[in-house]
Amino acid sequence: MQKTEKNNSRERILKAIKENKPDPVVLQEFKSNDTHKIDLLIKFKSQVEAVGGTVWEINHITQLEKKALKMYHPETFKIGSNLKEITFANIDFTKVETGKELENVDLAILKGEAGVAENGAVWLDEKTIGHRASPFICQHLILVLDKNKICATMNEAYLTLKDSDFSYGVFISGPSKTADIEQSLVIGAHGPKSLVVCII
Amino acid sequence: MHHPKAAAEFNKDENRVNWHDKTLWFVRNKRDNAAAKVEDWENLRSSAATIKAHVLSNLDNYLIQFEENAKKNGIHVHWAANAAEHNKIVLNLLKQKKVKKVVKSKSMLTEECHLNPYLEKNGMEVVDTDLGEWIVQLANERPSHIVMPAIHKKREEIDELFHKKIGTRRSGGDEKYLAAEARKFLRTKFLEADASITGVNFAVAEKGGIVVCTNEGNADMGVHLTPIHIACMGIEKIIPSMEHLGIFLRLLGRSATGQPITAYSSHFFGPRKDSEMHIVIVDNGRTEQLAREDFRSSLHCIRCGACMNTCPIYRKSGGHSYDSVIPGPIGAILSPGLDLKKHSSLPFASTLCGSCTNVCPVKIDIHDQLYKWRQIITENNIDSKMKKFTLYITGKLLSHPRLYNMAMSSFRIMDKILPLQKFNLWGKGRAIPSSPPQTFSSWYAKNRKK
Repeated sequence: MQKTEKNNSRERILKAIKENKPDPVVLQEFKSNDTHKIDLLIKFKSQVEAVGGTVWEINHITQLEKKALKMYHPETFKIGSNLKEITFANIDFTKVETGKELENVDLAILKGEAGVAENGAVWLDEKTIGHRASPFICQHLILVLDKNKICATMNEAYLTLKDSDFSYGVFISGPSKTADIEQSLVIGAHGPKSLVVCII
Repeated sequence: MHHPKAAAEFNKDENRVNWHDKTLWFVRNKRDNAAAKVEDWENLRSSAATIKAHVLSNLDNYLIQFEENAKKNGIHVHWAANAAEHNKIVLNLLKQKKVKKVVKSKSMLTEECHLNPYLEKNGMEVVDTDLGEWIVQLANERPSHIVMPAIHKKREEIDELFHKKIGTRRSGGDEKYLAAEARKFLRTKFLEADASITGVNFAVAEKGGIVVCTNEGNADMGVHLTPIHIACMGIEKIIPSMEHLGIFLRLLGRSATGQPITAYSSHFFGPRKDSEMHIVIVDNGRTEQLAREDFRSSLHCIRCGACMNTCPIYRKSGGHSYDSVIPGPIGAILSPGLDLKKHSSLPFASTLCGSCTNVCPVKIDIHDQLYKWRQIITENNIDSKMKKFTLYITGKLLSHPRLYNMAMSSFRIMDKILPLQKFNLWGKGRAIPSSPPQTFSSWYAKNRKK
């Protein structure tokens, strides 16, 4: 009985739309009028900082360990990663079954697939981050990004994702934040309290 | 409640009005600064408006395409004709999974359907995890703004609220402390929840997936830690392809809070391997609005709230004065479609300045629609009797020159001997100009020969 009811709603809604929808409106492709030439890396870095993140620049992933260990200590910190180069991690994200297992992760180091200069956003794909909760449940987050993977705008970013097949992905711009108390910005809401974008 | 009456209440506290006004204008300013940095801003707006108009002109096919692709991704799709059906569907899904604790990220649609009280009546614990939503939930109030639900609350009030409800120490409204306490408290809720409910910012037809935008990460914290995710969306949330997200995600954050993008733009295109994902597609009056040629474009709305931030009436009367799930200018053109009588005062809560239309990222002609709703409300005789009578008398006076002149002369006499200022509603906030020594017509008659 319930199934036919549900189908009836579906049919009723679709019928109402068909009867009420306006004449066809032609879709046009978006063409940017922006002719400014920007340095993608410089813009990206300044935007990451503008949204509350920190930028590190290194030449090789092995240098990340040194920088990270200056701030985060594996003796007291639970560090997780899905990058095999991160040898100082004490949790392997690729082996996690449930999000709740990640409850006590202090620092997550994850690989970003692409970056967007206009807003300092980094794209993460489920295929590379392992468990979907990993960039959110940690207290601090480091995203590693290849500097050649930065594009200018969201329009360009989606062009590169056009043929990407993912079940979950996220653009992350800065650490989590809220301004719900009298418009006063607080960094660190439910997601990580800090974000480092480490550009290689 | 009638907007003017509610606004008059709000206006009793002038300091508070000024504070509220300043706060909203501050957000409007942030939007301006952000928009100015985007060379393509007007181009994006035009594009967004065309995309939404195009979608509405082919909405049935896009919804069918969306459903087909969502199912291919392993997402269950449900259809609800109205709020009651929506609530029933959500409850049944939760009951099937023996859910007791639900975490919910912001969804104006679920507000519209009054989902929370319904679920609570049926034995569920529902916690709103967006900080602003949680604050109003604790205070047992409705959100006053669609993006910043607690913008009407001062920090001292929030401080007191938290102290009472979750036992925080009195901090004088220290936002860092309060936010940190909220983080701790809500984190437990995320970890203990059996189900998560989210809204939908954009539903991509070609991919059969949805995008949810948050700054706090609360949508993701809820969804990734629970075995069932229910996403609720209005039929108008559809966009055709992934590439269109590029346009909308550039407009949304900047229009709403002046941010180049929200911290998280989460693309839920399929369930986690050990969980279920459901989407509930809701009509609840939207197909009726689609039929209204004059008001159809109000369905373009991406719920950014920019119109509220700029509207002088909203800024100075507060969201609660609208007594509508969605307040402000956009609420004033959406709500009369749902209940003309209840919301008849809303289209009149405007000076028709057009600022709302000016900031709308999808170029809805809001102020034109406000004007058009006024015609409908007046034709349907829902107007206030006092206003009708006054306008009737004025009409009579203006169409009879001798009556008009008589009235003006007697007004001039009365002005000298009676305190007319007191009785003039229009004169409440304005000084009535003093009458000149003679009428224009008598002056003209006298000086014409010169």
